[in-house]
Amino acid sequence: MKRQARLRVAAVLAALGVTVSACSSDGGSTGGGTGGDTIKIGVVLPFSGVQAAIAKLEGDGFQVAVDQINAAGGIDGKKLEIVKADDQLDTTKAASLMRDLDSRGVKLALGGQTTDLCKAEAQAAARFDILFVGAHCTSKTLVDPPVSDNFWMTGQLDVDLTRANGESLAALFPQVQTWDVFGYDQEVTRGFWTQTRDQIAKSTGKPVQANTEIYVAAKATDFKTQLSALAGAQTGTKETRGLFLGVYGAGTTSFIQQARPLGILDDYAVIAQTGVYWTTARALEGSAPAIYDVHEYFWSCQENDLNTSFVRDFEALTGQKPDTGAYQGYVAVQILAEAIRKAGSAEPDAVAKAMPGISVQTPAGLPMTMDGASHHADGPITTALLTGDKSAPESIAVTDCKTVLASQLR
Amino acid sequence: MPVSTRTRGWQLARTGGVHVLLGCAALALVVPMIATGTYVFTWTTAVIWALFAMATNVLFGWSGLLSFGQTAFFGLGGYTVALIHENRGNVDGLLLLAVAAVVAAVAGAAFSVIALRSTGAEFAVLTLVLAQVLWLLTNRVRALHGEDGIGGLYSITILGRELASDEQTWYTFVAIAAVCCWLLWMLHRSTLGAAMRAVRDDAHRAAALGIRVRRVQVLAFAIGSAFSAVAGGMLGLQQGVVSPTMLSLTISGQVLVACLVGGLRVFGGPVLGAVVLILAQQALSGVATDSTMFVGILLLVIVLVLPSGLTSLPGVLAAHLPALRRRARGPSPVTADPAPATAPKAGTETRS
Amino acid sequence: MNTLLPAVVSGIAQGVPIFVIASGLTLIYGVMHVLNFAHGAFFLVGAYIVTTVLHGNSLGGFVLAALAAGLVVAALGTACEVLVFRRLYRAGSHVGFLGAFALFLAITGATVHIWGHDPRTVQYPAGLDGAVSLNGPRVATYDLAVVGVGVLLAVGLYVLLAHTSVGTRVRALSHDRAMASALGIRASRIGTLVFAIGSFLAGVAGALVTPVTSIDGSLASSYLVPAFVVVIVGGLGSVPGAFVAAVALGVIDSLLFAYVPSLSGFSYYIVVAVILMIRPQGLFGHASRATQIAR
Repeated sequence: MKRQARLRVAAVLAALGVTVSACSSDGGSTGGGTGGDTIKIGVVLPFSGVQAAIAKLEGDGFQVAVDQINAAGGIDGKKLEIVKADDQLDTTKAASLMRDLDSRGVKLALGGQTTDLCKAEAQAAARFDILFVGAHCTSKTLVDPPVSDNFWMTGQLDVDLTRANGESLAALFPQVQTWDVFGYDQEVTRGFWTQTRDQIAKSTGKPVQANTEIYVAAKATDFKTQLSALAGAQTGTKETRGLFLGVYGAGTTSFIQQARPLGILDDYAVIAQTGVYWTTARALEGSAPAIYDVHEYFWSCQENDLNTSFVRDFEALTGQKPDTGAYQGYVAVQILAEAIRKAGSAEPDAVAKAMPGISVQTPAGLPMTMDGASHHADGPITTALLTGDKSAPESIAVTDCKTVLASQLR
Repeated sequence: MPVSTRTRGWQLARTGGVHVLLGCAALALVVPMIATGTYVFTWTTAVIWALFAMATNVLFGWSGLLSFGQTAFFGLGGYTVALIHENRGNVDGLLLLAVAAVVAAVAGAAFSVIALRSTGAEFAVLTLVLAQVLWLLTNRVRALHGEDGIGGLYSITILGRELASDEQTWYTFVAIAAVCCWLLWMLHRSTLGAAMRAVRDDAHRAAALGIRVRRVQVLAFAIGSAFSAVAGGMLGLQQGVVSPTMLSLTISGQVLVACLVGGLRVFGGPVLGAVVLILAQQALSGVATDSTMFVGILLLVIVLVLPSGLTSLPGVLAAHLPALRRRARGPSPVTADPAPATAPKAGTETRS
Repeated sequence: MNTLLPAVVSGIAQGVPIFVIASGLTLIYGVMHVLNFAHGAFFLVGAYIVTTVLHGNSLGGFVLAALAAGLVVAALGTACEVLVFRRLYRAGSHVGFLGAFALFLAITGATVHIWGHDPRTVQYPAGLDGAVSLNGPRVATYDLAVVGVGVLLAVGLYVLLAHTSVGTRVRALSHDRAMASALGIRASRIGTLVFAIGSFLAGVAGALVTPVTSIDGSLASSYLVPAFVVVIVGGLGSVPGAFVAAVALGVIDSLLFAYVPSLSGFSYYIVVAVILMIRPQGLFGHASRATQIAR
């Protein structure tokens, strides 16, 4: 009896001790302060949770850029230092994160995995006068006008991504006239389809036929019924049929796994997707079907010195080839660093004044230029066919590349 | 208890709920002194969750209704505030919160009138269904903007002023929470509160005593939903954004955990549970990136050691205190020779 | 008519894996009166075990991997019961729920530390990677195999519960724990056994879904919610109820998708709301005393 009571007291005191340490401790040994020889930049990504794998590669992209800059002497003699912040894919953490960064002396931050996170983090950063660069944000609602004055976006817009996809599909697969659609029932993903469809129609001059359109509940992963319906409703011949996928993440993987036995993957001349296919293709380890994907960057699509050094340094750091996420992190740091150089200071106001017009060369071969009015950077977009291939690096073979500048699409 | 419960002053204060207000005032003043920067913010989040947990406890601890879908009303509150602000602009924050409370109360009452035909686990799953349906609707209904959420909530003013600093937010939120807790205390002390407890303990007996069981449960649900919505609205104000993550199952689970960890039967239990949970999560996420496992282990320890919650600790100690005292004094006098009339008085040493 | 048969078949294929998870949940609830939230974590662990143990894509290898997953998770479940739940029964059902939730967090958190963040995939076992044609529309062979396994498990559970002495004791305990204990049935031992069986089922369910989906942390909750709904619709504690409910919900979902697509996604929720309005204790459940007063 007595021992139990003592155990109870001890356990409760331990629990409370953890709690008290949360109030009184100062959040780690990194004392704040901007004075000194380093420029601190915050990287805000969901390092834990379901997108942690993607976030890790993105974080590594930031790191490669910082390492390269530091190796070349830093910016005006000052080195860059990354401070990681985990938003756990939760908008309610965004505000406390920015506060945390501010208390650690970080006035420049980059990141933003999803649109709601970009919004929350931009607005939270504004309260602390932290400059926030949306490296991975893609929504038109965030720029022009910018969601907050301190927000600058280097991620390419999804409307531009879909346009590029539509153009390339029209060029590469002119005989495909009928499309089936399989996507999440979300405004964003439905938009991907309608924008792609409209662009194909514009590029080919012929209207696009949508045969079957199937929308599933967001984040669903069980598609047996829907795929059965899809498999039974196809028209025309294989050469004239295309499939548009408006799913992402685990949804794409589940779709492929469940569609494969039904032969759906072989029923189309082309399967097209907007957005992240790379991580799914890697997870499928060589058995990934050929999907025509649009994103900002695929590592083997261009040959230039900047790309070579980027890929080499990235592989040295992580053992993997970089994907778009890593590339986005890399160019975001380049843009920020260039603005700091031009401003001659790392103070957010000065950097913000220097931002308009900043232009950097990217590993994708074309330059990225920041527009002062919309706070959005015009940059390259790449389309390519990604196919699982055990003999290729990362088990993904990349072919039929095409890179354009977003502004050239409008 | 340091203060005698028999003094009239104490009785009056308890009846009037003054001690709740004083406690909140003390908290409001003390925290900014011991915590700085991020930690005032964390404490503000803890206050929001404390209110949410208190609201949930109205259904759970007071009335015995287990609900897996409290996040539905939490999210409903947040979205109501955001939607009105998006469409009407200049509405005062307090009015927004009041509207959110009313909307949630109506929704909660309507839902529970139908759902309370089931009880126990079936009812709990129906509440879960409600939360999931609302989550699905954020994607189906264009006005809710799906995953992008609704932002711009930092420009909401409370009594004319924006919440510009951490301290301002802290005081404002503690004030709002204090008023809500005071209202809940008055409810707790009222006949309706007693009726809820009666229904929780034995619904048949309560019905036999003339209590309208269903009506009491619906009222409990409506009140719990209303204050949950206020908490949700406050979270939106603090974070500047509402999004479908406010309707996730994790939130439903966390608020129940807060109630259970704090203790269901004590008025202030959920407050303690919420504070411990939020601060522990903050502390653990500073220690390790993937801290879910550690939070789970911490909860396991608490639940195994104090199943009735942290507020049961005084009771547990009091139960074991005589045993501890006896051990310090030596073997009981009863074991010694009982015969002599000059038996040693209690407190004096006996032969060992 | 051409859409009806494939819709029904794919609905059954969708529902049966949910039955396998739900059967463990409802069995545990029936005896222990604990709604075991940690079941989702067991399911996830079962799936991860397969990704670790399985090499190559032979059918025999897959079966062994699934069995291994079931056994490991059964051990895990037994450990949880002995170390955690057994101490919480006295404190009431709410505390059991808290313990289950804490275990859910702890175990899913641990899977990240053990298996990392990268999502994984598993290939179909050889021979089961094709499709069967039903007058045109196709159904995956693997889905039919899973239905077969589900039916086998259902039959096995039925035989276990109805025709063995262990099963009789389990049923006695779930009907009236006090009386059964008074009659000499070792409640704690049977309770642990039931937990082990339920966890085994969760592990096997996790193994069964590995080829059709991406294996990562979100798996725990995405299958748990439909399983809860199935358990409630079928009636808490009733395994045949869970089977009927799982198949019915799958088929209804499928038919709604075919004929009223705008409601798809909501189908499980609509059905549970309707069923509980008509019959608050679920299809095969017992009307409890509390339910009676609520009316």
